[in-house]
Amino acid sequence: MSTFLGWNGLRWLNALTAIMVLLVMVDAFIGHYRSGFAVRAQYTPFLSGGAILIAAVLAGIAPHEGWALQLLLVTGAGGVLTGIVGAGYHHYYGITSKPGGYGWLLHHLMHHAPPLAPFALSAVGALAVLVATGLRGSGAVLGVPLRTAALCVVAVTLAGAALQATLLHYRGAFNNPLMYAPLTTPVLSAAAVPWLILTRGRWALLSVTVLFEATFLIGFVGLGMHLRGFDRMMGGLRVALPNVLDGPAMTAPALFSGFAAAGLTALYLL
Amino acid sequence: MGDRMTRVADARERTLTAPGIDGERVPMRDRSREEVDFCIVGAGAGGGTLGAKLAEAGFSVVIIDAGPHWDPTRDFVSDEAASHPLFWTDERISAGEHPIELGSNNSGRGVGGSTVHYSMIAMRAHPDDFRRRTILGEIAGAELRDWPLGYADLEPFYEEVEHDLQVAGPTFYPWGRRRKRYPQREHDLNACAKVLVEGCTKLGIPVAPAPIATLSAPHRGRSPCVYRGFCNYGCTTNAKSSVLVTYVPRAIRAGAEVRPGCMAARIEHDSRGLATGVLYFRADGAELHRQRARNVVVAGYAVETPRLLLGSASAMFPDGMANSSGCVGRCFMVHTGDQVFAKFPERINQYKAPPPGGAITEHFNRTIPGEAFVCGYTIEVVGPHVVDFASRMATSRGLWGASLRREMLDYNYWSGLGIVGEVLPRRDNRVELHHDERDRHGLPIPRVVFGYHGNDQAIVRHAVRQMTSILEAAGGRESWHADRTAHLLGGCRMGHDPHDSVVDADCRSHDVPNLWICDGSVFPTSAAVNPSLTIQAIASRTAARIRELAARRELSPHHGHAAPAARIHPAPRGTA
Repeated sequence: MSTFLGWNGLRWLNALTAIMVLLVMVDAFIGHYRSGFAVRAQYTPFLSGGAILIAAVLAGIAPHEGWALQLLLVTGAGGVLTGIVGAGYHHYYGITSKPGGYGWLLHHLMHHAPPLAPFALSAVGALAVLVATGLRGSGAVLGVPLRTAALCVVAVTLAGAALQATLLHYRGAFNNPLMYAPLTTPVLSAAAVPWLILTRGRWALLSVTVLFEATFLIGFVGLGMHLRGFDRMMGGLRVALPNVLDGPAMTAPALFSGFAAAGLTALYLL
Repeated sequence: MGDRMTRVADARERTLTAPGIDGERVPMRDRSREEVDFCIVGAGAGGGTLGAKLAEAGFSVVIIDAGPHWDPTRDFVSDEAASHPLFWTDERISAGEHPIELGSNNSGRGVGGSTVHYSMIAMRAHPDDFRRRTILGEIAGAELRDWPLGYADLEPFYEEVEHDLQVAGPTFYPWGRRRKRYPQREHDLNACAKVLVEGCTKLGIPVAPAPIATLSAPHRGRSPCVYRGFCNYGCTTNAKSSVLVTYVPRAIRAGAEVRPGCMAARIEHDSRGLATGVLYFRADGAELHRQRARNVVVAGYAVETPRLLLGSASAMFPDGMANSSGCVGRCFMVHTGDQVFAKFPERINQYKAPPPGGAITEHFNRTIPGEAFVCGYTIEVVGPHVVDFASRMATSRGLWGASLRREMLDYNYWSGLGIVGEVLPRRDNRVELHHDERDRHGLPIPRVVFGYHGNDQAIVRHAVRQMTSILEAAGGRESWHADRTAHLLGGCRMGHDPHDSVVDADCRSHDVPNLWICDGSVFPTSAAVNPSLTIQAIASRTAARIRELAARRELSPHHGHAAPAARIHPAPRGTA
């Protein structure tokens, strides 16, 4: 297994997992705080995410300790499950229980609990499971080679994130042309990954690499643009709290960078 | 004009400034000494929109308005009682079988007009609304007329105005002709709108997000709405796409002068019967000033427009200008705006967010089979603020003193619905000049005579029943009804026949070819939708038609044409 700056692919993935679970929790906190934690289940992502964060840090410090890896595996699986259950909650509270129900589907999708957001925790949890499995010496998860499994997680997540971002950018009427960015390289990356997995060709590898690199950069552009988005709200950054609560999702664009980095790690270090 | 001195406005060259929308001052041309291509009286939905489009087309334009030029960052206060200067509260006499309330619900004063305090509902009229006479035939007691233009004529201009205002509306709007998507997405619902959606869903009545001319996303330096809910008292955040923050800055940028504090007294004409300009009073001055113009546009809305035309009577036009048909001031209409309120167990906070709440149903905006009336109404959400609500409680329920105070403690638990109900035009409903009452300038004050047609009242009875059942289906109790009117329409209707209408489809007077009318008074029938978008679409169309006419040199008969290049002409000094 190749290394980069002294760490192998799994340790890098572990570090990315720790960073991304933090990002996911920040956005979840903003969204759940905004709705006043009206439902007790809204605390769950912080319990689950916090556990993943602790486990990832421990696994980072002690990558060869069986108990640490066991913890990462369990918390990762917990994250996957929490995300799925969370999506159910978002569906129920965001659509089913709202006035008009499915008759107002598009309205509810745009204005209430973001339907796909909880799956971000599932994706990070899946990465944790993958890292734990790898560090324990296994070369495959559920019979799928680690590299392929990681690429699949990355591709599905990028596609989902692009879908969720497009929905919210549609709500914002694509008021800035850069709001089309999630529809560009993230979607193409997600589409190119199966091509790579199925053909293992040089061109496919090159394309996926370039697309991941571009996606990595786009995430940072997104972060900057979302900051600018807060500033374009009433009062701008001088009234930061309400504008952060009501404006674009603060850390969401970083997930594109994070998962693109995870994809590059999988390509070259696994 | 009696013994008053008439003089040409200040002869010195000045550079003017006007309030910008972000608290700055913007430079503005002084056109008081010019004979401009267009002098527009009224800077509201009609005049402001038309003025911007004409100025951008290269015409020299002056827009005068009786009220101030508001600075949205300083002049608007989040206070109901202190917001009265936004309304046209000059003395008027309201008469007839059902005298209407005049003021906050149907007029505006100052640059931006009533769009400064309107509820921003940006609806299109429907194809059938333009063909009432053809569809319904003769109705006793009503004077139905088809419009001289149809939906297809206005459609591109509706689209243009919706784009200019960045109307936030649903992706799929279930009523009316298929349309392009709104420029911005709909707003989230406030609690009152949730009540409407819930009630309608339970009763199987289709309900949809409301199209509102308020930003839901940033647009060119303007921020999206923060849902304060003081829309009817002037928007301090500029999220509201009033004419004040949309078309007026465009007009000024394109070289128009917007002159506030000018009360038009009369339109002047020459010996050939062509308009030559407008005489007006400055805010509290007793002197008359003159703005010379090759074309005069009256955009004062359904009371002040007929008033100015009737008040400009002369030896040549004894019944008032543009009034050879006798139609000026006639077939004046309102919309019925009845409201029903119900109390809910949970907090509603009806004042929050734009008053239209975000939901609407046009399900009853049609002739309903099996009912004894024609035409229909739109059900909208309303959210009156405290003083407004208390006065409705007092007038509609007769509460006063301790009982009113007790009920008002539950203000936050009430939710309301209101209608825009179609009112049929009746010849006897009219705006006329009072024979001896005068305002502070010595101008005769208008007398507004109004009475409902039986059909209007049948619509209201149906609507009140429906609104009550919607509120009750959503869990409301103790419902009560407040009768009310909204919007002013008609009085200078458009039509093909010069003997039966005041202006043609281009809003050009049949009698005086360089006199135009551009506001809600040109509506031949009322259509059960909020009128502002239609007024603005008509203004946009008029501007486009004026460009075409100017290109064909058919615009200004006494000057050949008023194309922007030909600006230097001997100034006609016609007086009445």
